Amino acid sequence: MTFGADRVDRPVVCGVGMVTPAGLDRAATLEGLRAGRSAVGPIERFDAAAFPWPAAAEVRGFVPRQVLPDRKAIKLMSPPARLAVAAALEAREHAAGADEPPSADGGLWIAAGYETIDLDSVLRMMASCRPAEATPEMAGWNHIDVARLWREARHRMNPLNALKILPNMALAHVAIATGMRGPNAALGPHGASGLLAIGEAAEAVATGEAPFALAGGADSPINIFMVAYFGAEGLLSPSGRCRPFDPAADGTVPGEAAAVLWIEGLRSARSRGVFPLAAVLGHGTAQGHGAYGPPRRPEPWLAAGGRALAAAGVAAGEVQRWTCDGWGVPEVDAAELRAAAALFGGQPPPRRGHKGLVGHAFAAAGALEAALCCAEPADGPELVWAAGVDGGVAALVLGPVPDGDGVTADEEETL
Amino acid sequence: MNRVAITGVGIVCSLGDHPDRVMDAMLAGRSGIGRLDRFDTEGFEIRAASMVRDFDPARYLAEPHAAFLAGKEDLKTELGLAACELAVRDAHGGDVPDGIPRQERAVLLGSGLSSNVVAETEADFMPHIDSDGRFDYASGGRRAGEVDSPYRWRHLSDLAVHLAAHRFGADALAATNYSACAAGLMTVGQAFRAIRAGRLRWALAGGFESMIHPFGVLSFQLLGALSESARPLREISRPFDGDRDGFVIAEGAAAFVLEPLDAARAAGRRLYAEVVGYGTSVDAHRVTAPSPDGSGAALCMARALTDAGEPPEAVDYINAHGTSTVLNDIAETRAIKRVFGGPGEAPPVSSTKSMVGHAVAAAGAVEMLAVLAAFRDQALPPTINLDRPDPECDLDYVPRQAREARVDLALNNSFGFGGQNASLALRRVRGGA
Repeated sequence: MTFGADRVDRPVVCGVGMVTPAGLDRAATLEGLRAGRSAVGPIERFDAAAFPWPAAAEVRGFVPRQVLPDRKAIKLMSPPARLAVAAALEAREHAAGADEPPSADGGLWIAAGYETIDLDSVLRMMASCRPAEATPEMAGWNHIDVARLWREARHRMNPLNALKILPNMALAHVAIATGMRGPNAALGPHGASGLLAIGEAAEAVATGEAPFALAGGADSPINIFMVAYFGAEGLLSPSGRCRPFDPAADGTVPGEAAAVLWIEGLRSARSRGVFPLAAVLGHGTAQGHGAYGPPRRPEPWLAAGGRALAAAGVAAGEVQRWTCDGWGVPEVDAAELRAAAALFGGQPPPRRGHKGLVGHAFAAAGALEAALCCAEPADGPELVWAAGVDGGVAALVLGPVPDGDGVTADEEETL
Repeated sequence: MNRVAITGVGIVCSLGDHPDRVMDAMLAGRSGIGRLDRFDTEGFEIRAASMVRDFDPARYLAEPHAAFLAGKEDLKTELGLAACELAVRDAHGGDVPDGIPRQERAVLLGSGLSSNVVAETEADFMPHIDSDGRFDYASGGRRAGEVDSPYRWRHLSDLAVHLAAHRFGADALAATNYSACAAGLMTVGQAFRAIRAGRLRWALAGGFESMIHPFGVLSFQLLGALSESARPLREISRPFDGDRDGFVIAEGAAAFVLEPLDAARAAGRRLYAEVVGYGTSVDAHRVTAPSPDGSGAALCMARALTDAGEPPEAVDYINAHGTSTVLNDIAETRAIKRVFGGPGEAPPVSSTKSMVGHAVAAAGAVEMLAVLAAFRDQALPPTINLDRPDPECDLDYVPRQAREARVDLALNNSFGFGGQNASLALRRVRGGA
């Protein structure tokens, strides 16, 4: 992204909202992280005792009826959609200032993970379409009798199930809860997608396509499908601890979270009397190739980070803080460190990252780190990056909010 | 700011696998809809589908992809890759030229849910389900840890994106759009924006989908979206007709190579169309139904026109989302009227879903061919089966057969479950196609 030729305003972050294993809102999350409390523990969401990967960072104590406005809609929401709506409403409230922000033109860029299948309903359906005459001892026990599916089993299914699992439902429910009807895209499902959503939203604000936007990610991968998937990909920790960059690291731990940023043009924010948290200076992406999996070579990290810095007009030496991805997967961590050494010239700025405490929330992970940066901004430019299981990397450069409307006299002429 | 052209088209759908032949079929009003016979449907009310029959991945896919996917029954991924291969071959006659830097190439495709076949579902889960439908986590969990774990998600809904990005050297970005039925069109808009702003020089965009398996078709039937009509199969999809009662499920994929227009012209590429504007919106109404007044869909069309810098009266043709469901076709008609005025003021509108059905995440991409056909032949593709228009659908829908017309500027609409809407504005390139 270059916030250059077609720029009409400077994108800034005016509010952030989050629901994480460390806390059910922004304040609780920040407090939990400051205290260094780990939210990683044995999986409780399902009986994982026999699984080789015992741990997750679960969001506990989240009661949708207490935070979501429309109780009837909750039934239609998947777990990540519920988290997304809660985080989006918190971000909007955070950005409100004295005036209620306008809503109709607001953009929405929300990333979510793979479809969240309701295992119980699927299994009940499958069990009830076994051949009618089958007993566990009989051959055919493991077959699905499609005729029986049509005859009986489907009548016991929730007709709205398909709508509940669609990956764009996090975005759809955020739109309904906020009344925002602006430009949008539902992205996903991997680790770079939450930052990509923020980059696309910032671009839309910079070009005037949307006056403001909610952007971020939501993921709830703590179910047998996703744990088995990431586990089979060799990414999860058998010891149940996520220890990025540690010699004892043996994998990552799935976490669930939603993190949403309110991004707005600086002039628009100033006109509402809102003091922004941080400016979005640039973003960049890169795609790693080769075997399926998170990038195990430094190139895509380096390329995405370099592009984001170039777009921001920030030299690597000016970066005050670097939020790493830190999966806790040794080869991935090593590639990331090599990329950082190359990008920053052997002396990376102070590093931070929170997967050791809150696990890896995949489609929400990068957005969560970006939101944490905005909640406690650095003194100068900072780089956040995140990679996905598909080999993609997205990077974001945040920085202090400029004085005035952030537009220099030279730029004023071109606007 | 670059102008942006479509320089390559890859299509695999029920009407064929060659862009010009598919365009011919759309202009001829030919239906690709047939009997849903991929699985046992005895006792199931859904009879029609728009399927890609006798699909042989080896004819399309790069050898390593064909080998990797062999035996995986992953038709959705294969369709997506086939469309990508065809599009790149169409644009370049072979590989992407070396002169286009890899760090300025991207692959963006729209996708939906993963498509699981019954046999695998049986093998993966049935051994661990008791007669009450409870999963035995002890045996299932042990199985998950084995080397040949069946739970290594067999049908990643974005696998084609990853494989295509690798194959075509897209180092800048490989991204999946999950905006339901608007996804395939949205990626073309995203690619257009990035090339226009100079962030990319080459993009492969489109959508791919196959939900024609028992669980996929069933999920749409349970939502009440599919027609259960007893009519002859090719008459079931009837957008804007008073007797419409749901859509016909389709599968397929379409992919497009997008490049800066000037560079493409200089390279002597076929210029199917220029992309000139893109707009999106959300209904923010309900996840189960479009906003009945059409206000959400109107926003995306108005935004696409604003982006293109064109007034509504400059539009010569609208390829509608036109699903053939009761709710969509009325809401879309109202949306068009909000932007363009009433009958006599709004441009002709047609729905190619009358011929190709609803390809879900691929729909908007597949239907781009209708717009390209209109530019190529200066004719409007018809809405077939439109015998007795719904009184609430009172625009010119080009009923039953194609019509000659001057078509310089067109809109393509795609609206998704959940209320996401997209509209793309395209312009004919004189002497281009």
